[in-house]
Amino acid sequence: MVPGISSFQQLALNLGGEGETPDVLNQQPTWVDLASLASRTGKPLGDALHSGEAFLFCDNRRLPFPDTSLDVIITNGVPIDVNTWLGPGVQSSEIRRVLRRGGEWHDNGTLVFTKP
Amino acid sequence: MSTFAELLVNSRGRMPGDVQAEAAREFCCRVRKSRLYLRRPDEPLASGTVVVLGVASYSPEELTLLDDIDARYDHRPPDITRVDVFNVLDCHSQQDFQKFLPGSQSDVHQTPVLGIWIDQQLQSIVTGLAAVRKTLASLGML
Repeated sequence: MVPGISSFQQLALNLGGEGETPDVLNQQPTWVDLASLASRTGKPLGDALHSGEAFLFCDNRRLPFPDTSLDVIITNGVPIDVNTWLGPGVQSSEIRRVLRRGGEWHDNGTLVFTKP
Repeated sequence: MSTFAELLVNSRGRMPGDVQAEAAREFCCRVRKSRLYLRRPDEPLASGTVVVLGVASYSPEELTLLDDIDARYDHRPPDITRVDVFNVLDCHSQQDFQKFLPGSQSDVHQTPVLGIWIDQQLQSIVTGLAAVRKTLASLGML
């Protein structure tokens, strides 16, 4: 359950997620290195994956979801609308595309966008 | 703006990408207002023990780390000459990191990235918030 979200059954995606938010699907970009990458809590992502956390690995430029299909998008400390040395960061255009009407984007714990 | 973390405070209802872009633009100014040293690419390292820290200006936790280091700067161990910082968004390829972290051969896959030199000799490179905080604490800087 995402804090602050009232709906119980929701399709929630954490872009750049490291398993730190319960009950959401964690997305990581394709460049992620599971052998070396540890979450901000120090837990290696590989460990999180093997312990049953749900992860989706995909290009930030094209999230593999239909239009208007997700209830909640979460971003925490990830690059948005900028290219990094590893590749393109999270794209706000993709967030707007995949959110359903009334769907919410929470960035660093703050509701920043509700899709009209 | 009095802290690094405030660079990312979204007080005007702006979109996160816009907030991050402004934080990246303001990052250098904020470093100059602190006791930390803004590292330039290919700049020679100072002598003695030098700590170089690359942070992501889009990460609230990494900006808070800079605030924590700055707050304790006057209490750092006397052998630490200087704390150099840079924004990882100034690196557009893995090779660019070598301009900020001379002698480093390893790729950077996560941030922050911390390097320690003694008299220009690289001692270690550490990446990831948990590992970097642990290392800085062991150095007496947090």
